[in-house]
Amino acid sequence: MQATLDVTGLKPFTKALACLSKYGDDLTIYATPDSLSLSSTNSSMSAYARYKFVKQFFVRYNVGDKKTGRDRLADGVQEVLTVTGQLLTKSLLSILKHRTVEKSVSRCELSIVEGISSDPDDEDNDSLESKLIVRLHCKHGVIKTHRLLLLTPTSLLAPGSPSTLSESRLTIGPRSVKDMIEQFPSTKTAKGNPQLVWTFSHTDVHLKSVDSFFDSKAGAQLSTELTISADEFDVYDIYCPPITIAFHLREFNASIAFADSLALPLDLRFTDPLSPLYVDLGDDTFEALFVISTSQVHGAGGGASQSRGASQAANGDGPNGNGRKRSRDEDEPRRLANRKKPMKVVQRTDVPGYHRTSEPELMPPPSSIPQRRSPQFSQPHAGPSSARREESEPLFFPPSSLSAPRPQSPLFTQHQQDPEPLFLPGSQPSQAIVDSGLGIESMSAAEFEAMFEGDEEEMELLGSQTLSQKQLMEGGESSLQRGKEEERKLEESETESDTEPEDDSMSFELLPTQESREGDKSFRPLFED
Amino acid sequence: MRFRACVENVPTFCKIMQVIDRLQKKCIIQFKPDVMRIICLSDANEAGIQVWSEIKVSTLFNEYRIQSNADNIISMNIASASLLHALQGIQNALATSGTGSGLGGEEVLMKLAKKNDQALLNFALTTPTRTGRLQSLTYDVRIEVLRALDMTKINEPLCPDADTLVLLPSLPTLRSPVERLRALSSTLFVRANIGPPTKLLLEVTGDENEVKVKVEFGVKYVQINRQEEEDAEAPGKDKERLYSVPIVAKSFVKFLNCHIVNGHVIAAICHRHCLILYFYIGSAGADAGGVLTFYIPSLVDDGPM
Repeated sequence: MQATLDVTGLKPFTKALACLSKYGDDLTIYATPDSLSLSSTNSSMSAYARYKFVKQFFVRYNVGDKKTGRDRLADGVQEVLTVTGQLLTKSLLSILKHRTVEKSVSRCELSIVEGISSDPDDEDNDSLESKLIVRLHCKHGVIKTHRLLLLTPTSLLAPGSPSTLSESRLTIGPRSVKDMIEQFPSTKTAKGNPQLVWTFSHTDVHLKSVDSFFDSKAGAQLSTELTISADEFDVYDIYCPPITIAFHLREFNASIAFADSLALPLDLRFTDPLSPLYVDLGDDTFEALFVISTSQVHGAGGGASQSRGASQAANGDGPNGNGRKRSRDEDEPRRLANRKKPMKVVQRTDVPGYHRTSEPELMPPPSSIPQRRSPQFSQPHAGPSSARREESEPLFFPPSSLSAPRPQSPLFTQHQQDPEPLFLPGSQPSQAIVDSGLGIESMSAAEFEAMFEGDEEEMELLGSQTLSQKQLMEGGESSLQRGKEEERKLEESETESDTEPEDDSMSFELLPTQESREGDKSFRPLFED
Repeated sequence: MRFRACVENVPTFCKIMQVIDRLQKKCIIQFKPDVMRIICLSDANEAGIQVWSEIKVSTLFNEYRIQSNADNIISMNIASASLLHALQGIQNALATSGTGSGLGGEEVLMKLAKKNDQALLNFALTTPTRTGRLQSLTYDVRIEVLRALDMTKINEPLCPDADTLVLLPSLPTLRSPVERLRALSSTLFVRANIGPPTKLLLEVTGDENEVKVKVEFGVKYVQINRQEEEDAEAPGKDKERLYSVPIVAKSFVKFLNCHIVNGHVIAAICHRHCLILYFYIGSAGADAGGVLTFYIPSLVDDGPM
């Protein structure tokens, strides 16, 4: 993909990136021959932003460069020319938002080089990794080139569209809405993510801060309310007033800031208190869509719509929230397929890992835990926690389940396809056991226990005095080890009640690493008198 | 218990709260029939700094009505930041509506209210928006009403007459040297004489006596009244003598946080007892927007002054 921006295009492009960076850390690029889409989702998946720049926005724009033929080779048999990639928004933004860029750059070329190139001569194409190349043409013939590594997007998330039947539509200028929100001081200072409750009635709009202290949270000491005439809105079409919705402001403010910088009016669409809020803005050359989840309002009077919302909440917060998921996952089939694949893989490898970590075991935690769930994802698995939902409901559910973590990189995916067990099942001998040379791997459980029992007798015979020279002679090296191991086991037996062979084999696995420590036990005076 | 007033001078109220907010998270506000008192006690900050200020009701409010069983005094505990945010919001609304100064024009009604059994200070105003349509704004600041009995336990620190009174240099000027001094030691000596020439000394000694730093400012001696002058003329008073007070350096830094608000400061030194800083918001003198009195106690001295 090649896209060239001139000075006039660069400003809104940078502003859009700044806005996207407020929505989420990762930027997903999706380029088709007609348009370039940039999207971002926040970590709790409760807000989504997408900018779609049409071809005309750029001075020059093409995907899958037909002219050179070189890239065509690279693309191979790919029929639909799309280019995708993912990177940290900040890394691109920091390049474009730089002070000197605004002053001196006359042209900015963005190009994506896909990593499946076979041509070794092209220095841009010589790696397996996809790259985003940013070339800034500055004054005095200076050309700055930045190469940013692109990841394969984990999933292309897209929001569903609201049902148009019961939709309410509003249009308001950015300045007005900014003035309204500025009245809420908590929005400026609070580190958290403040929430506002909007009640749209026939003639008035009533805004209320949710950091209301009536919920008796010690932190909140100020509650703010604002009532404004509905005339403030250019379009005010409420489906069934009064209707109350509540949403967080962090992302909304980012959208307003963007709209304000380009003086574009905002179109707001929403249906009921539980469906997300859609904000559209744009002009001829680009369009932006923001989707922000709304949340349940406590106590605030909202009339009929409120109780309707409550009943829907009961449905929506069911065990799997199926009803909502379906409506939101309206998606192109191709994308669906894209998303389904990694999910499935993740789930399969994930289960054993999850079970293992939840078992009480003698083993130390593995040094790297790629399969461990991030807390963000493990929480919904334990059942929908309503407390978390209230804060921010995930807007976009991955198709199969919430609980599966997203693969982070191709490397990770490969790991899943060819899973190397982190924990060896008890029935299989571990390499450590084989290495110990005790022949444990060929023993049955009874033999295994017998081995220890024998040791026990030996221990009793010898009394508590440990490991004389004589014993060393008699028992040899392996017997010494076994004796020590047994000794250790005896020490531990007070705390460890689980003495199944499987666990014994697990504990033997530790043997090589602990040998030196065990060896230190024999007392040697540091200084001789 | 009833209380209701129009906030006439939002900017000044806002500035006062800005200063208080810098100092302490919570403060006590006491509304009396003729004055509003803002009190910050030392127990909420480790530096031992206290604020006792009285602001005339007429500088901030009009249509001031107050009624309570405790001599028409209402005292409350309030989060300074919340009150500040409310006032800033009001100021902002007044500014966008075009009245600019926020003086007069729209009425900002402040009253004691109760919602869901929670006492609060309610601010309400109606202003035109940018497009000229009316909007109504309310801010509810949660408060904790203090009983008269509780208030009797809160007493202003007693101190003798000041040994010397000087007009401090502007706070931003003081800030950087004080920051440097604080890095050297936790104890700051504030010294001043009567003069002329009047000088103010800020002095620290390194914790291990390895370094001694003295910053000297030429300042103006403040004569409060004739009486004072006569006293000063009295033969017993040595004009050259430096009156000193050792204080926790951190508390002076905290006080200097007030530099965000324009004002003049008169420092009173009670030798080996305390440092009192009178912060006049806006200009000093009779037309000051308000006076905040900072009380910084002396550290127990452990050596020659």
